[in-house]
Amino acid sequence: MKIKHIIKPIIFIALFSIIFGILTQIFKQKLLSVPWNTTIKVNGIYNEKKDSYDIMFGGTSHMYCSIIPRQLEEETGVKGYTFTTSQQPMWVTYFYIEEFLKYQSPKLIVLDVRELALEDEYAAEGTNRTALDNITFSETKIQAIKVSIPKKDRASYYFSFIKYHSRWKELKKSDFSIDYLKQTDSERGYV
Amino acid sequence: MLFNSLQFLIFFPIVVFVYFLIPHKIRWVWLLVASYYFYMCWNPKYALLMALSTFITYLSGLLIEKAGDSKAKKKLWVFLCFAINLAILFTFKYYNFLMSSISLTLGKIDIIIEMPAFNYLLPVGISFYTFQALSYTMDVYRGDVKTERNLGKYALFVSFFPQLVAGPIERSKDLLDQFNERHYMEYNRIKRGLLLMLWGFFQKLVIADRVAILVNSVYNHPNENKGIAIMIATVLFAVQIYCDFSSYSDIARGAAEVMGFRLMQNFKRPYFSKSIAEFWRRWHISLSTWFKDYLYIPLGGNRKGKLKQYRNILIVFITSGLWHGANWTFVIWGALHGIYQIIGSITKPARDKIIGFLHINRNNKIHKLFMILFTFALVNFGWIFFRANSLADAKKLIANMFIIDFSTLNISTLIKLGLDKYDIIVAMIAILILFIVSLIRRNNSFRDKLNKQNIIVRWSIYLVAIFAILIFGIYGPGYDASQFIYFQF
Repeated sequence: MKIKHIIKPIIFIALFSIIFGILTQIFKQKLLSVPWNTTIKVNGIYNEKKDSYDIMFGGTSHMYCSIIPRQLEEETGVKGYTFTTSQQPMWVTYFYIEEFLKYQSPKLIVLDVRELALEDEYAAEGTNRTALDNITFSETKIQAIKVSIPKKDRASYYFSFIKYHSRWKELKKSDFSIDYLKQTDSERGYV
Repeated sequence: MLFNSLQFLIFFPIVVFVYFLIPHKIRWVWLLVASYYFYMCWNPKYALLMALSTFITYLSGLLIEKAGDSKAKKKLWVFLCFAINLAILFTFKYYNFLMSSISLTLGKIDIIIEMPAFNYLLPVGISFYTFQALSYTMDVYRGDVKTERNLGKYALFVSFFPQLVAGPIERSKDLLDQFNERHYMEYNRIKRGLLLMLWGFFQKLVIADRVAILVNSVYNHPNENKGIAIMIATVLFAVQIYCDFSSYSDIARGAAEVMGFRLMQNFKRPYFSKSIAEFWRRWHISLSTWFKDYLYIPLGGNRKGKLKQYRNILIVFITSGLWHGANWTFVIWGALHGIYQIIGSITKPARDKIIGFLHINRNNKIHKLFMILFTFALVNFGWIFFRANSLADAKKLIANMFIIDFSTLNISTLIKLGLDKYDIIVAMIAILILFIVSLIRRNNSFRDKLNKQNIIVRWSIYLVAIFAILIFGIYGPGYDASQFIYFQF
């Protein structure tokens, strides 16, 4: 076997992987329009100063509709962040807490426990996508996917392109920009 | 396991990798295991059925050989083998059709009978592997192939995963010995195989499954559409079934080629045919040749006079229709193709006279184009029956097809048929690509031509093709991994 017959496929696969990665980023569903810019709210935590928040608010949309972290800080000086997505099942909230604790050391975690009453074995796809697609790939995310999604459906969560490739019809200018990845949420999670 | 699934994309590289790793002597064992695993992903129990057909035909080979000079005994074994296997095929495939047809007919004269139902699903690929296995029995009987003593290798011949579920239907004399060959990892051959598979995936995921959406919305609601919509849906069905079926054969051939095996070509640009007879030499070639060798010729073929020939053509094509499905629509479709050819044959002297009289040059491009379009129209008319869900639907669609409202002759009608304008554009471009590639392939091997380009051109084409499939392909959550049409046969 000639050397070039090993090198060429490897380079090709590398080229493919790079393009695939870029396309995955472009095609990904990004929730960027204020005030429902969940992507900014969740992704923003990665851009916040480390250990700067004292409270994490989590659980469900009740939190991000009811608690106004900026007002809390203005009135009491306590800095809080609402780190959650809509109708978030409790099993995902667990991993959201885990994720939050990688970057912050809050003294208090406040949870809306409404989703403990969830009787379905799995949450709806929209709920799962919003919750899982917006956190970065890590062991935490893998565990969250495993617990939220039945085995046969997991592939499109590991590789979001499988789900979002059909967005080719609706790509917007904002899909091609990665500026949002460096943004923080001025509302600290409040909608 | 479907070809267009993540499972297969993982299964295939593993099978190939191990295949080239292990010693040559046990490679067939690995392929046998892989093939049965592949089949059992559909339904483990039906693997037993396939094993049964395998064993019976294997046994028939041994018994025919043992019968030595006794032609009567040999015929007996052939008969028994065919009878049992066809009985199995018949039961799973046609029992319910037969029963419901009988009770429908009896019902018309007010006799109501409770027919016991056969409630088992049609085992995937049963029509294919049964025919492939039976061809072995016939070939041993005729002395065309030597008896295979190794049950395992024979079982691999019947179950070889690339072509197991939807063909090509191989002959034992072509495939069996290949399992004794030594195959090596050859860069160019593997590349060619992968490219053929890529082309298959393009046809299936970008074209076939896309136009299927439009075809289904028309054919599943025959009352709601008229005129142009039905014509468009039918032409697109012609595209769909070609892409769906030939893509399966391409992926099968490509996969086999990667490992060093050669499978036969099943399609040769069939819609470029200038006659129905030619069409059947270019469409589903492995089935046509099977019927020719094992039904048409034993019936006498064309050696017993015109009348018998016409009878034989009709028998073969009606049987072929039935092979495709347990529904009167398939019978009509088959009969139609039989009748086309009979009429073609009867009118040949008259047509020759007219051509001579008008001094038309048969090689003239315009004449050829006319013949191609005319044949295509005949084939399309046949597809109406093939695709319609029932005879009543077919009648309705044909009746409605001639109600042409010229005010609907615009793009907005097309868009109401299930595909939005983006999908239609993608479909049109993809079909155009298919057409251009087909034109190129008339005189050249496309892959050879591709190989002659420089690396930047080649790699660009590969990457564009792969990403076109990944982006525009009909797959993922929200689309049902649509099965290949021929799986229900």
